[in-house]
Order: sequence, then structure tokens, then C-alpha cells
Amino acid sequence: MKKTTIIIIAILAIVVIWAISAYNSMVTQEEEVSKAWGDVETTYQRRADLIPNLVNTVKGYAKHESGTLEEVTAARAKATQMNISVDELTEENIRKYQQTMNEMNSALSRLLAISENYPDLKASENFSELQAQIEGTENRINEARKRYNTAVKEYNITVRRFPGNIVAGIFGFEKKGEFRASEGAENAPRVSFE
Amino acid sequence: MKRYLKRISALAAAFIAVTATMLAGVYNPDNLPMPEKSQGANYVTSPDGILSTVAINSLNSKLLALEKERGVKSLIIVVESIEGDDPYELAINVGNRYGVGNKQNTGLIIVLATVDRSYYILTGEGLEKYLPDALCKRIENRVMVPHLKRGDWDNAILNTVDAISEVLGGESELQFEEEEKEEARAILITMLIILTSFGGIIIYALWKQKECPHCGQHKLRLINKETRLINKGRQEQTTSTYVCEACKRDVTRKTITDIMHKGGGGPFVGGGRIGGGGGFSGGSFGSFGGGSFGGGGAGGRF
Repeated sequence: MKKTTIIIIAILAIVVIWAISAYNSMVTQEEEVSKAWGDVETTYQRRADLIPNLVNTVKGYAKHESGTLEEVTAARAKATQMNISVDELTEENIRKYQQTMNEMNSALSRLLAISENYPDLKASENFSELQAQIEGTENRINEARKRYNTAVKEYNITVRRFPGNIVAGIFGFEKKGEFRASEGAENAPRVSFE
Repeated sequence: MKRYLKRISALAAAFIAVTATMLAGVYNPDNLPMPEKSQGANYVTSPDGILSTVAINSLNSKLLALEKERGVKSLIIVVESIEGDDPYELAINVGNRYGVGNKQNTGLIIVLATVDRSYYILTGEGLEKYLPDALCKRIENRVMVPHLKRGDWDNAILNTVDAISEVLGGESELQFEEEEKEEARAILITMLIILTSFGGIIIYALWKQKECPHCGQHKLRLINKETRLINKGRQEQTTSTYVCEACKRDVTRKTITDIMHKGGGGPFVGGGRIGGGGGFSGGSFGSFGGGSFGGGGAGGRF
């Protein structure tokens, strides 16, 4: 009788210790995801911050393109309003976020496309450097998204695999959404090197 | 059976030879040779022999200076063609794979593909604030491209490196000094930990020594200490007499010490020396590790 009690207590202790370590690793991985997500938002913000500057530069050369310029400004305003906290990183929210950012990106690429019609604008050093900066943000966004996806993949595996999913269920760790390449690929701005 | 094997291996050899010649001059992160570390500080890989030896030597000494003075580890890649025709892709993949740079992420990669006619300057995340994208573009536009248009590969790269060094030299304090500060702090903390633990042990030993075996209180006081040679002079016996201030009883302790290893007395034999923070090496110059890239920099075509 006494022996069985000890065995039960020992098993319970092992289960509790395992649950604690599983919980802690989920917290750590969620923190990684949160950090990576912060980077994603920062890089998109960086891109949005360049737009007013670009709009002003283009305005000086291309007076008849106010429609495109307004479109970019509006898309930027919409994009900067969008913020998702770590707890809300569901597939659905990521998809919406990606869609909003893509709208900003396509408006931006339309603006860059019309600048091809203005040789003076293209030749200006200010514009060339701005273009380089925009291209740089595109690269940074890709890197940040890659890192975010890696962190999420790792987190999702921990949260969904048996028996960790029991602990995840008790403490409310939910699966998080990833960026899907196919959705954004067709209208991601291809900033040309010219 | 054997004949077939021979034929197959001959075919395979021919196939490998053909693909090798086809691939010569077209590089990806897998087949791009890294600078030989055996040749000292080496920062340049030019497998197609595009840069002259003089230029490579000059670049190596310039980049060694840049690393020593500013803590910026660089890699110069000059090839004919890049697989996928994307100099940025090559730079970031090579950079992240080999960890070009250090923990402060002040890595710098310059890529030039002469047949593709493309170039890219990639900056590590720690370098971005000193060398922002727009400035990279300006250096490319003003310094690099004019030489590239003339096909003067040596001077394109040399002058670009000079321009970057100038920009970074204008900064009075770059990552390198912070790294040194951090190292100094690590040494200080280590010393502090060692000293505290040693001090703690000494205090504990002294306290333990004062414990009276009769009443258990720590109130022993040394009243007499005698030393005499025993064992034909090979050993020394110290007899210490204490009196307990709590229960007034006498306590005698005997310790035997070998003459050969005689130290300062007490339970601590030998004047131990604390080594001053050994093992903090900064890594050899020209070797990579720990750096990562977030996509900074700028590139273009000529």
C-alpha cells in the first residue's frame, strides 16, 4: 500500500517536472516568435517611412501623377495603422496583414514604374539613393519574414506534437500563422536595378 | 558486368567533366571557394582570376587594417557570373552560411560579377547605422560604377574599399571599441566572482577554526603556538592552544606539514595566484564566425 503511494507520487512528480519544462520551452519559443514578429513589423514600418520622402521627390519632377501619389499615400496610411500583437498571430490575421502590406507594395511599385517616364527624375542622385533604400527594405522584409517563419515553424511543432499539445492546450498556446510566399509573390514589387 | 561498370564510370567521369566546364565561372554559395585561411589574413575570393595579384594583396592589407581598427570583417567576391543572376542572394547566403563578421554583425560583403555586369555591397546589421543603404548606393554611383564602365575591375574594388574605409574612419567610435569594453567588463566580473568566492571560503575557514568542540560556539582565542621538527626533520608539527571564551576550556590542535611543501601556515597552503583573465582571445584576423546579415546594403548593374 505504502509502496504504491510512493510510486504514484514519483510518477506524478515526473509528470509535473516534464510539464514545467515543456511549458518553459513553449514560453521561450513564443518569445522567439514575438521577437521575430517585431522585426517583421519594424522592417515594414521602415518601408512605410520612406514613402513620404519618395512622394515628395517624385512630386518635384512628375507634376501630373497626383493620382498615383495619392494612392501610395493612402495605402501607406492604411498599412501603418495595422498592428498585430503576438497573441493574435493567427493564420487569418497574418493573411490580412500580408494583404494590406501587398497593397502598399503594389502602389509603391506603380509609383516607381511611372518614374521610368521621367528621365530627369531617374537621373537624380536623390531618387537613386531612395530607390536603393526601398530595395534595401524589400531585402530586409524578406529576411525578417524568413526568420519569423523559422521561429513559428519550431513553435508550432512544439505546440502541436503529442504529448506537448496537452500542456499547450491547458495553458492556451495556440498555433501561429506563417507567411505564405505564393500569395505575395505575384504582386511584390520587383524594384529594377536600372 | 565489370565492363558495364567501367563504361558507366567512364560516362560519369565525362559527364562530370562537361558539367564542370559548363559551370566554370557561374557561382553559387555551394561552389564559391572561400579565401584560404592558411595564407594569413585573406579577405578576397577571385576564383576566375579577374583581380590582379597586386590588387588582391593591396585589398588584403587594407581590409586587415579595417578589421584591426574598426572591427569590420569583410569578404570580397569577384566572379564572372552568379547562378540566378542575383548578387544580393549570393552575398547574403554566403554571409549567413560562413558567418562573415563577428557577434556585433559588422560584416561587409562586396560582390562583383563581371560577365553579369552586376554588383552589390552587403552590410551586416551592426554596420547599417554607419554605412546606410543610401550611402552604399552613393559610393557605388560615384566611385565604383565609373571604373566598372571602363572594365577596370581592380580599381573599382580598391577605390570602393577606400571610400568605405573613409566613411567608417570618420566615426570616432565603431563597434570595435564597444567589443573591447565588453571584454574588459567580462574580465572584471570573472575576477570579482573569483575574489568573492575565495574571500568567502577564507572567512568560512576562519570562522570554522574558531568553533569550540565542547560548547559549539565560535569563541576560540589563540593563546599559544609551538612548532617543532619531527620525523627526522622532514616534517614540522605545529601545536596551537586555544581557549574558549564561552566555556573557558582549553583546546589543542596539532597540524603536521611537510617541510618540502611548507606554505604560509593554516589550512591554506601555498600562496595561490589568480591568473588575470586568460582565455579571452578575440579570434584570429581574417577568420569568420558569428556574423549574420539582415539585408542591408545596395547594389545595381552597370
